Amino acid sequence: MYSKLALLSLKNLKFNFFRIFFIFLGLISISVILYFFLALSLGIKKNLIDQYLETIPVNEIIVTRKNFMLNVPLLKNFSFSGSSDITQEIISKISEIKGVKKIYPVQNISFPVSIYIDLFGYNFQSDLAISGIPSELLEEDHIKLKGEFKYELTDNPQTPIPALVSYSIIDLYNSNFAEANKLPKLSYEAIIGRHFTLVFGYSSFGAIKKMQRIRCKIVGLSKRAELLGLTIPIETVDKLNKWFDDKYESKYSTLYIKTDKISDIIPITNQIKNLGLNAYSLQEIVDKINTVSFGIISLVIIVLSSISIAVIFNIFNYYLTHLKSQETEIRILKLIGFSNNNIRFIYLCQSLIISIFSAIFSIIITRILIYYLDNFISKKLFEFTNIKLSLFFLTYNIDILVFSASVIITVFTVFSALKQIKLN
Amino acid sequence: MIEIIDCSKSYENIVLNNVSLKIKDKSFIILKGLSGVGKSTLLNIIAGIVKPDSGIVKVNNIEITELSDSALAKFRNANISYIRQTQGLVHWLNIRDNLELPFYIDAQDMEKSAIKKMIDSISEQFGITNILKKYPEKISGGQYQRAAIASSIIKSQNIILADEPTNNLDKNNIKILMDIFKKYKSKKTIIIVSHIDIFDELADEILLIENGKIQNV
Ligand SMILES: Nc1ncnc2c1ncn2[C@@H]1O[C@H](COP(=O)(O)OP(=O)(O)OP(=O)(O)O)[C@@H](O)[C@H]1O
Ligand SMILES: [Mg+2]
Repeated sequence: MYSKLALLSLKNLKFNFFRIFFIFLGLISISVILYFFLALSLGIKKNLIDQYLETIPVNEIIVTRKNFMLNVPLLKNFSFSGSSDITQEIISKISEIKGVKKIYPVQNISFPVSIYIDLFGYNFQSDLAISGIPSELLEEDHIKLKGEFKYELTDNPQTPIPALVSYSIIDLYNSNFAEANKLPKLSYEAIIGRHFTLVFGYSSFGAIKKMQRIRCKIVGLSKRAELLGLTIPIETVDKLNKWFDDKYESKYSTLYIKTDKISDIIPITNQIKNLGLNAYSLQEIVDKINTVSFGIISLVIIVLSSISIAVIFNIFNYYLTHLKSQETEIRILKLIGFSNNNIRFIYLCQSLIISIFSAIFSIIITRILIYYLDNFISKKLFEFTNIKLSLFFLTYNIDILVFSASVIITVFTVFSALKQIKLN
Repeated sequence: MIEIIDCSKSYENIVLNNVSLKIKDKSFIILKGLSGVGKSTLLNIIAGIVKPDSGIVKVNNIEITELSDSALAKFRNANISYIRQTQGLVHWLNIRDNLELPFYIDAQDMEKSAIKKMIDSISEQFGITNILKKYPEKISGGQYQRAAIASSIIKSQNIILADEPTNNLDKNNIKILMDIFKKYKSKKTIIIVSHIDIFDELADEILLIENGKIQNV
């Protein structure tokens, strides 16, 4: 019997196709808008924010020196700049802050260093920056090390210093240097295991007071490595700094601080700032992004829901007119022996058919639209910035969400319209 | 047996005032009265479409004034053929579907071939075989009325309520209708509202509604 009633709703739909077609269009328009914005906002979150989060762990505070500069415009040539160094004393102060779990310092070589590179028969020499980080920091880091290569010092003075390079230095070499000098490009793996000679105390401007040649070996790539230089064990950096300057006292350029709990990050960051240092955390950035994106999302939701309410109201009115035009028919159906529930079933079934079709239709349309749009945008983006990025994120969950929203909204709307019709 | 006990119904003014009436099974009744006296209202009360403000209506000993909507619907589908005064067809269904409509809500599905046989024979009887595929708005007034009557009586229920069935019908069609009523006389309970006298010869009783009361003529 219910299949026969469903057949009746189909016949009614067929007869009133044009009127219902507009309901169909209205439904498709909200579904498409909903789908589009969901895929876009998820895409932005997933492809921009999450990728950013991947580089640095969230439960980490980064502390750097505060550089200051004093310019007195009236007194020409009088300018004073400096930085408050991070000393051992400051580290112990920070470690006393409650919630701090571990501190990893970064120390820089504080005198000129050159590197001799012999690559594909091409010899050149260049100044470079060298920083030192403790090996424990790498344990929970995104690092690429190959098999036997270890970021570890041995007592044997003959073994070269293990060094890490950043991914970006390889990218830079490939896109600029190799291209210009017609050299083969390097893959990330290919750099691992290469040896270079470092000349400590020597720069392009000539030797300073002491000079020392040491071999180094690239053992891996790390996101923590010096962007345009080498990163070696911090103990070596400290030793070399002391070799160059007898009076050198250990000081650090950056500290990575791990906390016990993520919730501690912001208060600890503020306490460190009070010590006169720069401190920031990804948590802070994430919080800011969240505040901003929350604002944007609420705005979008307000706009979307007012559009939806307008459309739903229209659908309601449209369907009500559709029902009102059939009041005589409804009376005939009642005379024949259709109960109120039978009649409601016919029209609810009809709304179900409309909403299912429009939902499927909108999902297909939007998926095709997004596919071409995304291809187009990422192509353009890649042409201009060399960044491969997708702006949209498609998952079956959105399909399910849009589908059920469409069905529930329509059935609910038709149900309310049915309530307006006198069945007795 | 149809029993109406102390029924009253009023809209803006009183239509039926404390009316009581007994109609025996298989009797042929004709209802008369001026326009607007409440003839259709009385039929609607018997069919359970309109609830009286007070009083009891019993059909076959079932108190239909107490039935729920779905029970009432079942009762109507099983017991009453209602020929409407105007607009007897569902305009979004073609004539064949209109004829089939009473079978849509049967709890146990009738066989398709049996339904088809019934549709074929009744449409032949009413001369509407060639318009079965058409929609109601595409046929003439006489065809419409014949199709509407056919769809009302196709299920052959035991009570036939007919509200001005001769509307829109010419002499030939009135004769077809006459033959039908002759055929059913003494087999079914028939109540006809008619302002013409053509059915009077078949009537067991002619009732007149006047000032909210029913009188025997
Ligand atoms: N649903 C309604 N709402 C308000 N008033 C109604 C309703 N149905 C009927 N009436 C009124 O009740 C009275 C009786 O109506 P009814 O249709 O029963 O008359 P009738 O005898 O069938 O007339 P006719 O011969 O013209 O068909 C009329 O005054 C009519 O206006
Ligand atoms: Mg009437």
